[in-house]
Parts: sequence; structure tokens; C-alpha cells
Amino acid sequence: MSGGVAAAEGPLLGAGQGVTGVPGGPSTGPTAGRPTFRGLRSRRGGATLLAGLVLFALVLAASLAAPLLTPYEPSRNDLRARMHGPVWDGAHQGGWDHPLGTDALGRDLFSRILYGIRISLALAGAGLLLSLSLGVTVGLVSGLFGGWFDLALMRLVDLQLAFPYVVLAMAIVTATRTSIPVLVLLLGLAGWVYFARVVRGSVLQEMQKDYVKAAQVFGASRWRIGLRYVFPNVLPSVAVIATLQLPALIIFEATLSFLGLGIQPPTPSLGGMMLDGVQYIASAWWVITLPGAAVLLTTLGLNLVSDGLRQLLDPRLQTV
Amino acid sequence: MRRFFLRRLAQNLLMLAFIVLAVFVIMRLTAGDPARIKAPIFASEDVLDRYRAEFGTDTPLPAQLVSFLSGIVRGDFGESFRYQEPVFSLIAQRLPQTAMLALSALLLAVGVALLLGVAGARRPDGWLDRLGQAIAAFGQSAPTFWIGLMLVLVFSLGLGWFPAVGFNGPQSLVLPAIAIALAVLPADLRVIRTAMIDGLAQEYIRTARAFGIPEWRITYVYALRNAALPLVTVVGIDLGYLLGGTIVAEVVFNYPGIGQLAIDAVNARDYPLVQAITIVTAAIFVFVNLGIDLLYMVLDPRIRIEA
Repeated sequence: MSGGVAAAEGPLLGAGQGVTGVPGGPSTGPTAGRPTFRGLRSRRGGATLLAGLVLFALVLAASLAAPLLTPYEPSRNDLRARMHGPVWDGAHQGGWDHPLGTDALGRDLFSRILYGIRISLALAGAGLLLSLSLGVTVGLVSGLFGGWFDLALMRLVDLQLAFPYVVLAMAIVTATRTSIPVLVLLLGLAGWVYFARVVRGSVLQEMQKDYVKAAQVFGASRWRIGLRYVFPNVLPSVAVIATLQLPALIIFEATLSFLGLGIQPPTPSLGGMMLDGVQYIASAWWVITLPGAAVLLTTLGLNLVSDGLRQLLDPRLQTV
Repeated sequence: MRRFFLRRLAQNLLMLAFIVLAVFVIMRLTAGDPARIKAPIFASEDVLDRYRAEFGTDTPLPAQLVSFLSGIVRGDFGESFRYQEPVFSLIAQRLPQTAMLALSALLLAVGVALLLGVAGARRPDGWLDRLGQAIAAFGQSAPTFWIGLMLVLVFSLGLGWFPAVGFNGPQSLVLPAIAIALAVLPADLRVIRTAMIDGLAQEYIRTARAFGIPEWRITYVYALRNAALPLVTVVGIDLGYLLGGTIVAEVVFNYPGIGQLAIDAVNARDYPLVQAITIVTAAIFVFVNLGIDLLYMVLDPRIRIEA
């Protein structure tokens, strides 16, 4: 495992700090130089991190600038321009007026994809915030206080990790019908366990350290130790899990929408667009292919960021 | 060893009981009245009451729980709204198909992960290592259903090599299994590669080399043993993804398994069927995990001694 090598490189957080805004851990030493572009690139994982950030920034910028990039409303039909192929597919009437083609109702795919990415990111982001706050709280409390509370919570975590979540989501959606709040809740409940587990582990590890013992001797309360001393040291792991969870949630949202359990039409969602496209798979390849490619680009960027961060911040997390 | 196993058994059964209870609570408290779901929209109160009596939802909640639990113990999950058939037999018909697909996907994923993981560990940053990491990044970033659709587009509609939908023989397993395997592969690959790098760095490997034992034997017999335990662990974790992925792939490929049944049930709001599928999946899960625990004991003597 590369852990030994990376740890021997000394302060790992110096460069990561400037770029990612992740607060430094205990290993930030006096030799941590100024964060420079070249410095970051030469570190193990640095190039990966940069490539991921650039890719994700491009996708994000394109989706935010959607009204500038495309003249079409995402839900506007144009029955005279149905099923046009993308611009490079001349055999299907591809042309520059619809660079990525149109769907069965003549809606412009490029604008639907851009707006779809917005919705994906917003939903996954909301889900991430929910699971992050829930998971970090549970992990902190579990690690700090231990006892039966810890035991019960960790069994709950095991339970959820063990269970195929899609099935649970199906049961919940059957019971409640689809709506945006339910969807956000489903996404939020999908990821909290990973945060809870890792935070709890880090807390237990930090509690063994001398500075915590010193704080205890000085009479600091458990809460104070937890929030003031332990919490900042847990943040790098939280950042790594977050970058790992965000793409997972994007994929999960697309999957739910594809199964008809998520975002409902006419709101453009990447999964929903592919669901529409399935019936035309034989005649219009682009309608199912391109929204998925958009998901792929978005999640690939984020996964590269997470791989890079993992290598930079905490080599031990590589096996998570 | 027996104590360890019994403790695990007890824990897992408790977990299962908890899932059953959770399903009951979620379905009863949030779905409201199954009678309203099944009855025609403008049904009168009398008709609704008749349905309620049929489902037993006219009794108080604790009594419902008791009859629900005793039904489960007897293998009676009620009757499907949509198919008018006992839910249990519907599931039993489809289960072997799903198991076959999930198992093929798992074998494929573990096989490829072993090949590429070992190659990557022997020659880090070599082309096989790069290939493995590229496949892993793709598998991690692309939704399973989309991979499935792309496979259909290329290999059934384009090249006509494999059937796109349904099940007619082993050739129908190929494309869905690839789609599912790609979702599971990244974690497997990472674990095997790490364990192999660790394994190859051990003293006894150097000793084995000094004795002139052939390199393939050192790699695949001596070092690979190191990967056995982490591999079993990761397969246990895979299981959730595997079942989830199988459900999604079944929908894409219109494959006659549990997942297909489940999504139809959700769309028809076939409440007893969804409920039963959730519980059956959970039960499978719990028992496979128990099997993995047993495998642990076989592979790792330390667990046997401690327990």
C-alpha cells in the first residue's frame, strides 16, 4: 500500500489546504511550504485532484451558465424538430441549431442536459448536506460518549450498510409517493452511515492522543474536547467521504429518476430523460446516451477529486 | 468457534427482526390505508370497509402486527393486489433467476479484479495497472442502468451478439452481468491490489524466491492468500450493491427476476408484494452475511481461537 510512501513525504496537508479549503490536520508541520500549483501537481494524487477539479468546474460552470449557452427553454416542445440527431450525426438530421439533438417532443437536449445537471447537483448537494450533518453528529456523539448509545447507533449503521438501499427506497416511495422532499430525504439517508462510521473511528483514535488527555487534565468537558479539539482533526476524513458521496448520490438520484421513483416530468432530470429515451433506443441513440454521458462527466470529475484528496490527505483511507 | 457463530446468528436474527418491524412501521404509518389503494377511487365507505376486513386493517395496530408476524413465520405474506396470487409463490418463481444473475456478476467482478489487481500489484503503474484503474474509475462514475443501456445499444442493437431483453438461455446473462459487475469492480480491485502489494512485500516471499520457487506460484499461491480475507470482507460489502445493481439491471434488460417484479409492484402500488420483497431481500442478506462470517472463521484461525 502506498501509505508508507506518502506518509514519509512529511506534511501532507500543506498544499491541499490552499486549494481545497480543508483545514489542516495534526501533521501540518513547520516545513509546510506555500501552496503552489507546481507543488501540488508533483505530489502523489495532486495531478488527479487538479484534473478532477478542472473537469467538475467546467461541468458546474456550464450548468450554471445554461441560459447563456442555450437559447431554448428545457421543457419547450418543437414538434417540427423532433428526433434530430446531434450535430455530428448527419444521418439523423443533426445540425447546429440543436447541437446535441432533440428528443421525441422536439425538446433541445443540450439545454435539457444543462438544466438536468443543475437539478442533479442541487438534489445530491442537499442530500449530501443532510447525510453529512446527520452522520457527523452521530459519529461524534457515538465516539465521544460510547456506551449503549454507541452500540445501538453502530448496529443501526451496520443494518443500513447491509441492506440494499434501492429496495428500501422503493418501499418508502410506494408508501409516500414521489416528491422532492421525500427524494432529498432518501438521498440524505443513503449516505449518513459512511460519515458516521469514519467520524466515530477518527474520534476514537484522537481520544487516545496526549493532547486530549492534557485537555482532560485541565478539566475540559467532553463536549468541549469533542468540538474544540477532536472535530477539526476529523474534518479531512469528512472531506474525503463527502467527495466520495456526492457522485454516489448523483448516480443514485439518476437511478431513482430512471426507475420512475425520483423527479417527475416535465422537470428535466438526467435519469428521467433516459427513462423517456428507452422506448426510442433503437431509433434515437442520442436520447439515452448523452444524458448518461453528462452524469459520467460530472461524477468522474468528482471521483477524481476524491481520489486525489484521498492520496493527499489520508493514505489510510485508500481502502474505504 | 461455536460461541462466535451463535453470537453472530443471534445478532443477525435480531437485525432481521428489526428490519421486519421497520418495514411494518414504514408501510403502515406512511402508506395509510391499503384499502384505499386497492379499491376504485370513488368507492363508498362500505366497499372500503369490506377491503379493510379482507386485509385485516380494521383491527388495532398491535393486533395487525401480531397477525403480520405470524404470517411471516408461516411464510404467508398475503396476496398480491395485482396478480391475485400468493406473494410468496410469485417471489419464489423469480428468485432463482435473480440469484443466477447476481452470482454471475459477482464471479465476473471478482475474476477480473483478481486478474487486474494481481497484475497491478506486481507492476504498479504498468499498463495493466492503468487499465484496471481506468475501468474502476469508469465503473465508479457511470450509473449501472446507463452502462446497461450502452451495452444494449452496442452489442445487441448494433452488433446483434446478445439478446437485449428477457431471458432465453445463458447468453441473456452476459450483458446484465457486465453492467452489474462494473459497479462492484472498483472496490474489489482496490482491495485486492492493496492486499497483494502488502503480500508481495512480506519476508516469506523473499524467502520463497531465494528457494527458487517459480514466480507464478509465489504470486498466485503464497501472496494471494493475503488477499483472501480482505476479499471476503469486500464481497460481503458488495452484496448490497450487487442486489441493488441487479434490480436496476433487471429493469433495463427486462429480465424476469425479483427486481423487475419489485419495480412493477412499486408502480402498481402493490403493497403486499413490495413489503414481501423487502423482507425477503433482507433475509437473503442476513443469511449470506452469516455465511461470510462462517467463511471468516475458516480462513482466519485467530477468530476461532478468540471466540
